[in-house]
Amino acid sequence: MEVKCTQCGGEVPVEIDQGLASCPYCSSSLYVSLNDGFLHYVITPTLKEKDLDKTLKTFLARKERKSGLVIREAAQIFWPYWRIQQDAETKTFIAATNPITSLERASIPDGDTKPFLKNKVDKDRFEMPGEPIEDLIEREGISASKVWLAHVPFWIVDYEYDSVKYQAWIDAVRGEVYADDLPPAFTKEKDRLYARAAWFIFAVFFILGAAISNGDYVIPLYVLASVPLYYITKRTLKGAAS
Amino acid sequence: MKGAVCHISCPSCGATLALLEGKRVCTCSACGTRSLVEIKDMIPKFAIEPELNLQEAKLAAIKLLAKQNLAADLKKAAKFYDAGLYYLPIYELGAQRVGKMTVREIIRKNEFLITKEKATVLLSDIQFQSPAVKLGDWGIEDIKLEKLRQIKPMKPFDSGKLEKDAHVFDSTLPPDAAGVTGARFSTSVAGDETKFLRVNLRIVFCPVWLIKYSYHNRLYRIVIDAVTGAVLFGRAPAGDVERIPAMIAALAVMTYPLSRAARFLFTGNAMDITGFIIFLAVPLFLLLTFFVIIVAMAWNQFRYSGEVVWRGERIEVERLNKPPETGMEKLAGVMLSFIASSASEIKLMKSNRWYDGI
Repeated sequence: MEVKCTQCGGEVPVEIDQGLASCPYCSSSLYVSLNDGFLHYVITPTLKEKDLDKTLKTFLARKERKSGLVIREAAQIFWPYWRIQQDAETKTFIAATNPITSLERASIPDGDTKPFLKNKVDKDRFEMPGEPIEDLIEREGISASKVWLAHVPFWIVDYEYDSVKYQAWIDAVRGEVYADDLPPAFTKEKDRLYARAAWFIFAVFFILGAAISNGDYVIPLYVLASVPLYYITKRTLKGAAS
Repeated sequence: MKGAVCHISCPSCGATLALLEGKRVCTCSACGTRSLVEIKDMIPKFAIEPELNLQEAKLAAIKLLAKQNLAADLKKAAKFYDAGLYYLPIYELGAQRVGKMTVREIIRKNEFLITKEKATVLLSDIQFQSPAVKLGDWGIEDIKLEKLRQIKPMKPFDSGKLEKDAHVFDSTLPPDAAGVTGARFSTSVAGDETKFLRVNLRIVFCPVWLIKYSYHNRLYRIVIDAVTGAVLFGRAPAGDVERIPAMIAALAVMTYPLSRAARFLFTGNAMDITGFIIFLAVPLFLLLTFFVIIVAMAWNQFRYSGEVVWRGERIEVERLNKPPETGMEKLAGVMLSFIASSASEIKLMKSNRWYDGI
């Protein structure tokens, strides 16, 4: 948003709703206090394109997905969000049609904000709100005391795994990943493998405990058996990626 | 758009003033007049400069990663990836509490109760702080301004200077949402005749280092307080040395009595052992529940690789991709609830004693 400098008439970009701004032309200080309308700002992305591969791999590994993905395309987009203050509470609404369902969980990240300057942004990358704010306020029945329009940066990442295409939206500030479809998980295989290893240990101990007549020998035998059991289990589980 | 844009000029010569947020005394560059600037409703901004440079912040991160219980190959496989300095805004609400406070005391004197009134005169500074952004997104619990100020003084906020080599976060929580309004200072206690004077609100920008490191194709973050060097948040892969031994030990503890009981069932006098089991059914069930709980805990450690998370003073281990409740945990839950319901039934039976009706 811009205000007119009272001194020289130049357009002063404003990223705050209350505070000091400095005129870039005549360097005079202006005190700005906006009570009405909304402030339109853009959050500066901090996640670079080179970070995407690792960010996505970290996310997928934590969800026990197979690694070996290949990123085919990554594009940056700024998606609009309304932030509405009602009394002491602020509510967030996605301002354009939700591109993917899981993006519903997304909130506006905190970050370094810059004013939205119409002439200076790449318009193709900025999605504009689908409806005027007045309609949203009426529909939701909110008594808004303050409204902001935030453009949140995302990376849309198209990646391939096993020649199947997937898409993920990555919050370009916090690195949160939103995706509706993920590559297949190996959780079940892993469950089975680990359960088999546990049953094996149980079986060995059970047979030892049940087969020996003198109870005094059982505990030392358990201790002795633990050593080969440890190595066998370790070998069995080696194939499972952790 | 409604609102106001005020021009700030020198009252003496009319020249424009270059004013910084948080600065209250401003010298005119044209005539040298010093003016006191007061703008109603403006929240002054201050910043604390970092004490640690990137190298020192990295060292603090390395120190954290040298701790016990982390992945054995962390030292070898962890690689520094990226680092950045960020300024996070924190509201500080201050006031002076002045006045008289009367406290009533009841004293026992020679078997009489005497009410004694004691008046104290109060004069103290009160400060309350609350983050102006969602610190939770960063995993940060709290930043104590008091501690920071002991090391570095607060300076008026100069956005141009700070933004040169850092990301300055703007406050996104309005003061009332952050709970920093004058309403916080109100007393409704009888005998309290104090007043809060000079209530003032300010925003203090605190520097933190965000350090990212990679480990086997994964990215991890550590947030270091750039003034005190304290670890505000950290994440690292947990060590897995004890994963297999934990499972072996838990299963050994459980299997020993089970296998011995099975042996007696098949080889010993079956009648004797049945009587024995019926006699000891309750303690045996309790013992079995205990074993199931132990194995359930060991299974979590055995099956799911973990990550150590530091949040201020708190350290916890998060198990990756662990469902809210595993099969073993479900079984332990069922057994525990069975014990709880039987215990409450016994209690009920005891309270409704059969002979009460006679």
